[in-house]
Amino acid sequence: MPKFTIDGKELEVAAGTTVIQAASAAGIDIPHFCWHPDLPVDGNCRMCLVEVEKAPKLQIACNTQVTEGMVVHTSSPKAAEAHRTTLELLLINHPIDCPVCDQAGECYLQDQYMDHGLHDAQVEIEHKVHKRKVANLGPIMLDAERCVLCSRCLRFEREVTGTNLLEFKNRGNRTEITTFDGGPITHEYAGNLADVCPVGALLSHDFRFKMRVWFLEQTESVCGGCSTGCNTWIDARDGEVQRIRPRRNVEVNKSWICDPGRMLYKQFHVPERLTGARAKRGANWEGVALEAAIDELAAKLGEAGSASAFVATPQASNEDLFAFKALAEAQGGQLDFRVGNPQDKLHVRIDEVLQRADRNPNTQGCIDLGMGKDGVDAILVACRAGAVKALVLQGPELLRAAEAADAIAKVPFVAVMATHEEPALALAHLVLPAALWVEADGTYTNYQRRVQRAKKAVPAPGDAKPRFELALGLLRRRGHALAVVSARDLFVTLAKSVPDYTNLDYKALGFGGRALATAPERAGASAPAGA
Amino acid sequence: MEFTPERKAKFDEILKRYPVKRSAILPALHLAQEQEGWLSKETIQYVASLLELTPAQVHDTASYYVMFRFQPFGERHIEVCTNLSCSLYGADELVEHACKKLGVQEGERSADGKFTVTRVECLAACGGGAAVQVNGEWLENCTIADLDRVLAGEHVHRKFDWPQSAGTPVLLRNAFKKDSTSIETFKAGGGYSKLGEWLKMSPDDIIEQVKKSNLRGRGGAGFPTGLKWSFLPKDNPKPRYLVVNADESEPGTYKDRLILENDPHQLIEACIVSTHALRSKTCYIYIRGEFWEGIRTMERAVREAYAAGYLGQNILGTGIDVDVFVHGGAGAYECGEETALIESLEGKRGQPRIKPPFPAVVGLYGCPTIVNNVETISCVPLILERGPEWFAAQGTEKNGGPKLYCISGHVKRPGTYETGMGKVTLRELIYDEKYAGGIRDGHKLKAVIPGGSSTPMLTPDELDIPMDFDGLAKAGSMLGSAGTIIIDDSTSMVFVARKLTYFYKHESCGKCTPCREGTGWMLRLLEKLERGLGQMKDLDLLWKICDSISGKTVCPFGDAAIAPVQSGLKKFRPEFEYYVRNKGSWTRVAKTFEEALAKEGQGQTVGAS
Repeated sequence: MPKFTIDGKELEVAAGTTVIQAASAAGIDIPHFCWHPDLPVDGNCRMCLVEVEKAPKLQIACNTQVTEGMVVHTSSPKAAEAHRTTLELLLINHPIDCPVCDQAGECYLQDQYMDHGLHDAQVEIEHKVHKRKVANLGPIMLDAERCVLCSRCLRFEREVTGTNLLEFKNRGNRTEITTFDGGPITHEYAGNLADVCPVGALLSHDFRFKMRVWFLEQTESVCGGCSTGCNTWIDARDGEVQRIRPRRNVEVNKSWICDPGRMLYKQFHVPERLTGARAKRGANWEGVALEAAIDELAAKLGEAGSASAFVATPQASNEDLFAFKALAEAQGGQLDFRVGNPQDKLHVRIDEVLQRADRNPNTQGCIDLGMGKDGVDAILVACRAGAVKALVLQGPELLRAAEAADAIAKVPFVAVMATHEEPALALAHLVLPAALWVEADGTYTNYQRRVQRAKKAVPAPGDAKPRFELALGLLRRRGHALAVVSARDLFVTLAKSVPDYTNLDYKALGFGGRALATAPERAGASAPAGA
Repeated sequence: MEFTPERKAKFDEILKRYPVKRSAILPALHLAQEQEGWLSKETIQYVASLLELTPAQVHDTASYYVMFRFQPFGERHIEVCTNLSCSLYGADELVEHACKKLGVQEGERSADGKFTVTRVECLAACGGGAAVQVNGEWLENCTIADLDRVLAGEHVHRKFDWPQSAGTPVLLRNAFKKDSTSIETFKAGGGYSKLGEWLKMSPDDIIEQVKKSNLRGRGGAGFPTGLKWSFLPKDNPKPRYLVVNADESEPGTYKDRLILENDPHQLIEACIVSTHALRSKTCYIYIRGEFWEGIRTMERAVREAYAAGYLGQNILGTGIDVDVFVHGGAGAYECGEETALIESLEGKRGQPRIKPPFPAVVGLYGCPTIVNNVETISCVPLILERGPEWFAAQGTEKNGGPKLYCISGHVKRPGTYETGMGKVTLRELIYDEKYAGGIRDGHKLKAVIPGGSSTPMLTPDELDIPMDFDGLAKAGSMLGSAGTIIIDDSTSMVFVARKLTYFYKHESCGKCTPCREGTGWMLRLLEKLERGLGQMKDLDLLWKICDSISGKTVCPFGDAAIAPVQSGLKKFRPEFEYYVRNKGSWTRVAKTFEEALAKEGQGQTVGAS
C-alpha cells in the first residue's frame, strides 16, 4: 500500500494504482481524453501529463503507477503549460462548431478549454484538415472532424463487445474514425459509443438535435429491462424522460448499458399509457375514479375472503412486492409470481456483454421475498374449479398467457394493475393504472442478488400510482393498514422480515447497491468446519 | 476475389510462421495487391475472412501503410524518393518531369493504364539519390534521361555503386565480393564455420561477451546491447523472441540495406547465434516493405540456410532449434520504433506502445522480446569470433566495434563507410579522401545533419568531434543511425526544414496528439513562409510548437520531428527571418544566402513590396 503525495495531499493507495485512478478517487481532476476507467489504458491523448518529482520529464498520469514516496503535481506551471499546449494542438483541426453540436455542455474539449486552455485560436478555419461529417452509422452519427482520435470507441468495440466494427483510416493528422465502407453499427451496444466519445464525434442518432443537455435533470435509476439491473441515469426535462444513460457500477454494468435498455424510455410517454382506472359494466368499460376503483376491489376482496388469489410481477419493486404479499397474506389467498417461469432465465445470458434472458428487473426480489408460494398452476387449478372469487394481478402477464384464459374466465372478478393499454386487459373486470419504475422510488434485486435503488425521476401520468400505493390502499380498506408512508419506510419494514435484507436501509444501499450472499455462498458458509 | 492456387499455397505457408493469424495481414495484403493490382473492398473482405478478422480490422491496418493502394494503379508504379538527400540530387524535378510527360497528377494512373508516378519518403538509398523504384526494383542515381527510358517502356535497373571502405573492413568484408549473397561465398570467407561451436556456448556466456564488447545499438539510441539482453526476465515461462529491426528508414541512413542486399548470410548467422543467446527459438527479421529486392535476397538466403542445416531443428547436431522468418513491412517510418515494429509484426497499425512495460518483459505476442538493429546483430558473431576485447578495441571508450557511416548530400563521394566506432571525426568523414572527399566543387559547407534527420544540425565550426554516441551527445546532437547529410551553401535552410518536416508529418503515426497535430501545424507554417506569407510571430510560434511536442509524446518520434525546425531556428534563424522580410526564399535572387543578404543591403530583393 504505497503512500504518495498529490497536490500536497498525502494518500495511501493499493499497489498498482495509477496516478489518475488515485487522483480520481481523491476528487482531484486530471484533464484527460483517452483514459476511461473501464477501458484499457492507451496513453495517446497526452492530456493527463503531470509533474512527478525526480522524473526527468512530465509523465502521463494514466500509465504511471503510484510508488512509495512519489510526489505528484497536477497543476504546477510545467504541467499546466502542457495541458494548455496539448489542448491547443487538439483544437487546431477541430471545427469549433459547438453552437450546432449536441455534445455541447458535456464535451471534454469545451470543459477543458474553459479550465485549461482559454487561448486564442492561431489557425484559420480554411487551413484545417477536413474529414467526413454527418455520416449516418445507424444508431450513431459520426463527425470525424470533431474526433480527437482517443480510440475509446475502438477499444470499446475491441474489449467490450468484441465486434471490431470501427477502424482508424489513414495515419498522422489524416487519421479518421470510420466503419468499414461506412456501414452501420449493428450490435446492441451502439449507444455506449456515443457515451465513451469525450467529444461530439460519435453522437446518439436518437438524441440528435433534441435538446441542450443543460436543460436535463439527472436521476439515479436502475434499468427495468432485464435481470442484470444496470445502473442508469434518467435524464428528464419538465417531467418527460429524454434519454437514459449508463451510470457506472463496476460490479454490475461498468459504464455500459444495452441499446434496448437505453430505448425503454420510448415507452414511457405514449398514448397507450394508462392514466385512469376503469371497470367493466356488463360488456362495456366505464372510467372510474382511482379511489372508487380501489374501494370496489377492496369490497370484492372482502366478499371473496380466502377464496382469492394474487399473482405478483417480477417487474415490480421489492416495495411493491412486499405490500402485495402483505395483502395476499391478510386475505389468506394464494400467491405466486412465476408466470412463464422467469426464474429459469434469471442467469441466462443472451450475449457476452450485459443482457439476460429474464427481461424482468426483479425476479430475484420475488424469490427473496417469497412471492413464489403456491405455484401459478395451483392458482389456475383453483380458478378452474371455481374456488377463486377474486383474482388480483400485479401485472398483466397472466392475462397474456393463452393457457390461462379458460381459468381466468372462471373467475368472477379479476383486477389487474397495468401501465400500458393492451388487448389482454379485456379479460379483467377492473384495471388499475400503475406507475412505471422511473415514476416511483423502489429497490430491485438483480441476478447477482444485489439490492439496488432507483429513484423516482418523473411523475406518473394521470391517476397512475406506484403498485405499492395501490396495495397499501387495499390493505388500509381491508383493515390491515401498514404503518408506512413512503417507499423508504416500506423498505425498512421489509428489510426486517426478509432473510439477508436485515439491517439494510437506503443509506446502506447508497446508489451503488449492496450485494447479498448468493445461495452457494450461503451454503458454503454453513458447511461444517473442515469441509 | 480469391487467391490463385499458387498464392493460396504461399499464403498457407506464410500463415505457419506466426502463432497468431493476424500477423499474416501484411504478407496477405501484399499477395493480394500483387495479384489484383490494388486493394478493393472485396479484397479486404476476402483477406479478413482468411484471417478471421472483421473487414474494419483489416482496413484499419492496411490504410495505415503507404504501400497499399485503394484504387487501381498503372502497370508500372514509379516511385521517386523526394526526401532531403534525393531532393538535393534533383528528385523533385524527376517527379514533375514524369507527371508532365504522362499528363497526369501525382498518384494518378496514365491514360493508357501503364504508369502511376508517386513521391515516396526516404528509401534508404541516400547516396544513390535521386532514388527511384519501378515496381519495387531499384533505379538509383536516376536522371531525367533514365526516367524517359522507363516511360518509353524500357526495363532499367541500376543500383548505387557503393564506394568501398579503406583498410580491412569487417562488417563489409563480404559485401563487395562476387556473388556475395550466395551461401558458398559466405562459407568460403569462413562463414558458418564456427556456428556449431557457438551454439554449444551457454547463452549466459554469450551475453557476458556481448556486454564486455561495449556493443551499443546501431539503430539510433545507442543503448548497450548486452544490458538490453540481460533485461529478459529469468522466470517467465513464455516463449521469447528475437526481432531484427530492418526497417531502415531514417533519412540519410542506408547501411542495413547493404548487409541485407549484399551479405544476407552474415545477418542470418548472427540471428542464429543471437536467438540462441536469448534462449529463444524464433527470430523475425522485419524488413521495410520498400526493400523489395532485399526481402527477396534475404528470403532466398534463409531457404539456403535451412537447406544447409543451419536453421531448423537440432542445428548441426547441437540440439538447438532456431527458426528465422523474413517479414516484410508495408511503408511506415514509425515501424522502426521497436514497439511500433512489434505492433506491425502482430498485424496492426505500426504505432508505438506506451512504456512500461518494455518489450524485454512484454513484447511480441505479450512475450519477452528483444528488438535489435541489423548492424547491431551482425556484430555478435564478430564478438564471439575475435573476442570482446578485440571488438571493444575497434571503437572508443564505451563505444565498441566497427561502425558503418552513411554520408550523402553535397559531397563528392557519398557512400557507406566502415571504420572503428568514433575512430573518425565528422570533419574527416566529410573531407578525407578515404571517405566523402569533401564538398562538391564550387560550394561551401553550410550545415551537417550528423546522424539522420532526427539529429540536431551542426554548423561548419562544429566538426571536430569523434563520430560516436558520446562525442555527438557532447556536441548537442546525436550519432543516431549515423546517416550524415551534408548541405552546402546553395541550399535554403527553410527548404531543409520544410522537406524534413513534411517527412515527419507524412510519417507521424497519428497516435498521440502532440506529434500528430504539431508536425502538421509546423509544416503549414513553413509552407506559409515559403509562399512568402510568413510573419515574424510565426517563427516564435514554430519554436513554441517544438516545445509543445518535446518530451510529451508516446515515442521518440516527437523529439525527432522537431530537430530540423528547432536546430534550424537555433542556428540559421537569419534565413527564416529573410523569408519574412522578403516574402519568400533568397534562392530566387542569389546563389548563396550571404549573397542574398548583401543584395538585400543594396535594396535588391524580390517580392518585397
